[in-house]
Amino acid sequence: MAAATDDAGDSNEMIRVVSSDGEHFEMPEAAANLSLVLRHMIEDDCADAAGIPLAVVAAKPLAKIVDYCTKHAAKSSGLTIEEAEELKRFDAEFIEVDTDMLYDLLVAADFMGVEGLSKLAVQRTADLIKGKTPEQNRETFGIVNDFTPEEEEEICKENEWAFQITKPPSRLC
Amino acid sequence: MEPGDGELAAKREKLSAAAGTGGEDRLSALPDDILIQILLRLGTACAAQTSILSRRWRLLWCLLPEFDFGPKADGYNIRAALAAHEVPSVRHLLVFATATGPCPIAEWLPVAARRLCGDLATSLSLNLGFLALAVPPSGVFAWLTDLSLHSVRFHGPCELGDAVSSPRFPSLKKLTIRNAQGLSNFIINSKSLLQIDLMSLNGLQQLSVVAPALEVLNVLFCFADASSRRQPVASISAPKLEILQWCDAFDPNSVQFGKMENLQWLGTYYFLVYGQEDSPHNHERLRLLQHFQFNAIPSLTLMLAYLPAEAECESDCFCDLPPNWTTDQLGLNFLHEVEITNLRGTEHEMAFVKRIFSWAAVLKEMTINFYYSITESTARELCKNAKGGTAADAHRPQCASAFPRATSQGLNQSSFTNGTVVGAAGIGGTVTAVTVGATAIGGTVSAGTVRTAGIDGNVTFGTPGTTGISSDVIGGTAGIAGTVTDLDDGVFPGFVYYHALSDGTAFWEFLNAWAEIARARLALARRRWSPDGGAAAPVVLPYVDLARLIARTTPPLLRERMLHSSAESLAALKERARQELLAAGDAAGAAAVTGFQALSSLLWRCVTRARRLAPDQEVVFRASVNNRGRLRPPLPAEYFGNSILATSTEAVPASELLARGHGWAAAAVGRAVAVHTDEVIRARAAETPSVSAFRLFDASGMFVSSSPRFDMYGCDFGWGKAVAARSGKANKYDGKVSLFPGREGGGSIDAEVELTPEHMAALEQDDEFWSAVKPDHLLLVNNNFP
Repeated sequence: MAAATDDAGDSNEMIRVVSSDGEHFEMPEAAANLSLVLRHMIEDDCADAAGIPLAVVAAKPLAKIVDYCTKHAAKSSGLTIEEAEELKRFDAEFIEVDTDMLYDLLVAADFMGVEGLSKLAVQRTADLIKGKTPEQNRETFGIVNDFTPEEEEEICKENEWAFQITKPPSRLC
Repeated sequence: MEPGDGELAAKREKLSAAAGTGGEDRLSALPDDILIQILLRLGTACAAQTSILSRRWRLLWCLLPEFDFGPKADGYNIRAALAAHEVPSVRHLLVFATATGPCPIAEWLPVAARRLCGDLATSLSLNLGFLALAVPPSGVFAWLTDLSLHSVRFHGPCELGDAVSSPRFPSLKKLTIRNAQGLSNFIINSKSLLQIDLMSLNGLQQLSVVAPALEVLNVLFCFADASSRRQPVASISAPKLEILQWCDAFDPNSVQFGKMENLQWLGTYYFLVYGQEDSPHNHERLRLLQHFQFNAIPSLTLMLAYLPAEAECESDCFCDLPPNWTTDQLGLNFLHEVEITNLRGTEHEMAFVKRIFSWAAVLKEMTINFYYSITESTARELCKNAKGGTAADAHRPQCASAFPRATSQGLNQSSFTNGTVVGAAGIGGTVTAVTVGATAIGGTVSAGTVRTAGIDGNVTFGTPGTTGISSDVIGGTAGIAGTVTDLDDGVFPGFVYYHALSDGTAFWEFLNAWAEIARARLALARRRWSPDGGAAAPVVLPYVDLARLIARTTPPLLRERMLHSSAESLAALKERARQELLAAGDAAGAAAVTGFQALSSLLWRCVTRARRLAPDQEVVFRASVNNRGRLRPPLPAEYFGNSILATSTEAVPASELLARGHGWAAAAVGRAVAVHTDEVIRARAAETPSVSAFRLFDASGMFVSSSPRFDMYGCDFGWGKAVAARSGKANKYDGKVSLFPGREGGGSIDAEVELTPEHMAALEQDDEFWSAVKPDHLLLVNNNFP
């Protein structure tokens, strides 16, 4: 079979993206392809010099996402065990962020369709919630308790089984 | 904004409010979809704990698609969770209860019944730790196919039989009850049940089963109440029964089996070979066997049990008889296959094995799994000895010792002819030409490798643990796999075939049947259609790495609904469109309206309404259209390939679509289909081929594919008409509709509709919608989560 020629899409072109607050970023096409949204835009020839505008992603999280994608695209297939572990370490450090950044990443990764990052951020949030008392969780996430004490008691009673199983050291339940 | 939108509006307001306050509680402001993903990773109990955080969180955990209620959950919790479940899509409900006081199962069972009615859950498993269970007097589990009750104690008059029978469990396929107490009279009358497993129903006195579709019935230790030695009373009417396991008391006077002409497998208690000859235990076994009068046993499985001798036998005991078995002269004239497990090779056993060879004149295969301590060389020796005593060489059977995964493999001859691999049988052995891998380079077959295990093709030996076939060849779990390589000067089909599946005769029978179908059906279809009559070269994709063409998208959170539209309601829907068009003066449009147009119009308008789009948002309706009959000349019916294109209506503002009404939308769909002519198809085919990702998303549009004209229910493999046709989870997105023929035929249509949960919830409130369709009787497959 005659070898088909690579099309332009296979080259190491840099893809430009623009955050909601107008900052420009660049990443290799392979990195951009980790985002479903960007990949579709690239395939539709929307990736021009002006950059792909991302209307709901601000510069701060976008910088992180560009980092994440660039790292993961460089090591996408045929990983050695060491490389896989290095990538795991990278992820672990990468997601050590404050809750504000975590929300930004949750929303942005979901919007941009970066599956690996979505999972990472979701797991991190779950880890933060797990094993804490409701009071601790409210504090961590700034959740305002809008129940009356009576309602609270009712809910405790309603889901008593759940509170008994994992036994959080709660004053309430 | 329409009334009824209050809840959504409130949610949106809340979202924006939270975002506006400087991100104070931004976690709660995240969309449900993301929060549910987070809760899923917490586990059900921990997720339920979040209900205390705030109002936003109170019922969030109830949206989880899976519930695993641990032993601490009581009926009230389960009821609350199920009752609070906003968007019903429980995939799986697992309840485990312990014996702590009376469990108010009646609290939640009716709720569960309603929940499961309109829903996707098809399996319900309850382990009740001998909690008292009173069968709820009402409740219909319309979609439940699999009910399993473990450790249940029934109290009060038990109507379980009534509960699991057809009127209340119309779809139940499999019923399992283990370790039940208090079930004395069990009467099952079900048209849908295929399998019943009853085990240890302590105290059962009477069992009555009327199940015309039943294929498997296992009754184990239900009547066997050693202390009372009560007479079992049973009446089984299951004319389609194929497998019957009756490890229980049997008395032909009180246990009645109706006609079972398809019975293929009968299992009983073990038969005591040693000990008293006239034991009532053996007597019952024999009577059971006699009842079914197997005069042609094609397959016999023997398990030799070594029971510790508790007392000395009497001098004339059975086990003192000479160990050569010559006193018994049996004629096993239909026995083809024997499997013996855990053979230790004692003199006694080997004498028996030799006798089998002489009793079974047409024996073809004997498989022996030796006891683990027997070495391979001993096994080999024992097999040789056993075969040495064969009476007639002409019938010398193939004797293979094997582990289940490894029957003997032999390829006696193979030849390559024009790229086709042909394997033929050797003498005396069975054809096993199955594991063939070949490499084709430059258009000619330059190398072929044939891999076999056990080349002598006649007898191979191994002790348990030996595998006769290399696992890298078989690889996964497929019984058969094939590749077809299209070479420049030939076609090279190659197969990997798991020999445990069948012998060579059956393999070639299968392959030839396949080839015959291909010859007959595909002969006409081989040439690919192209606008210039086939002169142009085939399209070569501009990629070296085809992986780039494969997009694996994560499906969005979707709800799926199966809808059924009968021929009558379609006719009414069509008539309504016709009347509206006539009133609007569009006589041509009115005359042309079809059922498809009418249904499409209904779906298009109701979905658009459910989406609550901005009034000026333009919407289009798209559908895949068949080119085959529209091309001039038309393609032959057998044409194998893709010949469809998408067509679409004109874009119309959402408000206008709703205002113009059903008739107009039906006519618009009709126009979209009508413009799809030979000329248009050729023009589109002549466009420069381009490769683009399959677009799965148009937030305001909808797409109808598949066709009620496809013969789905005629596809009968010999097991009868299919119960339902469904299309899996691939290529699904908000607004996707797949059409199938209705099972009853006659022009009825089933529609599989995919929408986001909130759009589906809105659609379900639409009266116009429900006037023409109803939920299909079977709901399967929730494709929201991979």
